[in-house]
Order: sequence, then structure tokens, then C-alpha cells
Amino acid sequence: MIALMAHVVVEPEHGRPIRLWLPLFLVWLLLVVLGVLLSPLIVIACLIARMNPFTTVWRLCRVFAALAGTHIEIQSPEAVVLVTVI
Amino acid sequence: MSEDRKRILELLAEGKITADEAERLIAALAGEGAARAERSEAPRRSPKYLRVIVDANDEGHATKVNIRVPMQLLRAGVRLGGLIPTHAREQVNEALHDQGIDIDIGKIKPENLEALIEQLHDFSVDVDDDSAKVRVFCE
Repeated sequence: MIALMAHVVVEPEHGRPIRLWLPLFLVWLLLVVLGVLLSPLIVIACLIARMNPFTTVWRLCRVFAALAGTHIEIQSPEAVVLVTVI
Repeated sequence: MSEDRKRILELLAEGKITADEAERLIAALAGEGAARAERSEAPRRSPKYLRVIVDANDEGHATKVNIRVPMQLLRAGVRLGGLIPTHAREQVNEALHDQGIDIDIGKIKPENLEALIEQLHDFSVDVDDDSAKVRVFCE
């Protein structure tokens, strides 16, 4: 299941807390469009690095898809940081 | 017929145990066998997440870290690592060696990771220090 949303919370000790719900599905759509537009450059870069461009793009996509379920929570006296990928 | 069952019947035939006792023993054997079969047949659920929990208290500064990483992400990361060009891999290996970690990342293959994950069911690392408690486990 691909990650659809990310919840980011940053609460510094002093200052305004930041709470964001990031719609990742929109980010993925933007990345797809960007990837298509930049595909010639990606292919050239992969060929220079002697990497298979299709395998590279596929494996990168799998990393993005596997992000769902990631949870990072750090509480310190200076700040609280919470990142949850849903 | 199992050896245990045969032995119970022999004891019954020899008159060393009564019919009721034999029945109870056979029932107990059957129950144990069923439980054993259930244990062996129950599929072992593959761990889905790697958890790292750190509870540090350094000079009165309490810091808590709670990380949950999906196993799928680890698998995808290892597969992505396989794409690292040879010259870059050598540099990474050298950097790791400088940090005291003697690992050849070129030898880490997805199938190795699968074998590792299979063995992670009962994996748990607990470090209990004066200043910090660290727990690494799979769930």
C-alpha cells in the first residue's frame, strides 16, 4: 500500500508549534509528472553511472511505496518531533 | 500406533492400570499431540516493523526516541543499495571501515535480508545503561 498521507508535528520549546498533514498522493502525482519530464536526463544520468534506468526508477518507486507505516517520534527538552507516514 | 499409546495398552493388558486410567492417559496423549500439531502448523507471522525505543536521561535532559520502520522499507532499501556503482560501493566500504564497521555492502543481497528477517521473530536487544535505555525489537 503506497503512503498517502504524512503527519508532521514539530513543537519547539519556545515558539509556535507546527502541525502538518501532507497529502503524499499529490506529491507522488507531482513526482510522476516531474519524472516523465526529466526522463531523458534520468536515463542519461543512469547510463553515465552504468545503472539500468528502469531498474533504478522501479526500485526508487518501491522505496517510496514502502514508506507507509513509518513512525518517528523524538521528544527532547528542546522540541518534540513526530513524523508519521500513513 | 504411537509408542506411548502402545505402552499404555500394554500396561492395561498387564493389569497395572485400570481402563479409566488408560482412557485418561490416551486422552491426554491425544490432547498433547493436537496441541503440538497446532503449534507446528500455525504459520509464523513475519515481523512487519523494526522498532527502536530510546529513553535517555543525560544530566537531567530526558530524551525519548520511538522509531518504527516497516520491514518493507528495509527490503526496498537493500534492493536500492544493490544499484550502487562499484566505485561508490568501495568508498562506502572504506568509510564504514574507518568507523570500525567491517561490512562489505556489496555482499548484502535481498535474499540475505529475507533470511535475516525470517530469524527476527524473537529478536530483541535491550541495553540498560545509567543514562539510557535502548530497546530494539521486531513486531
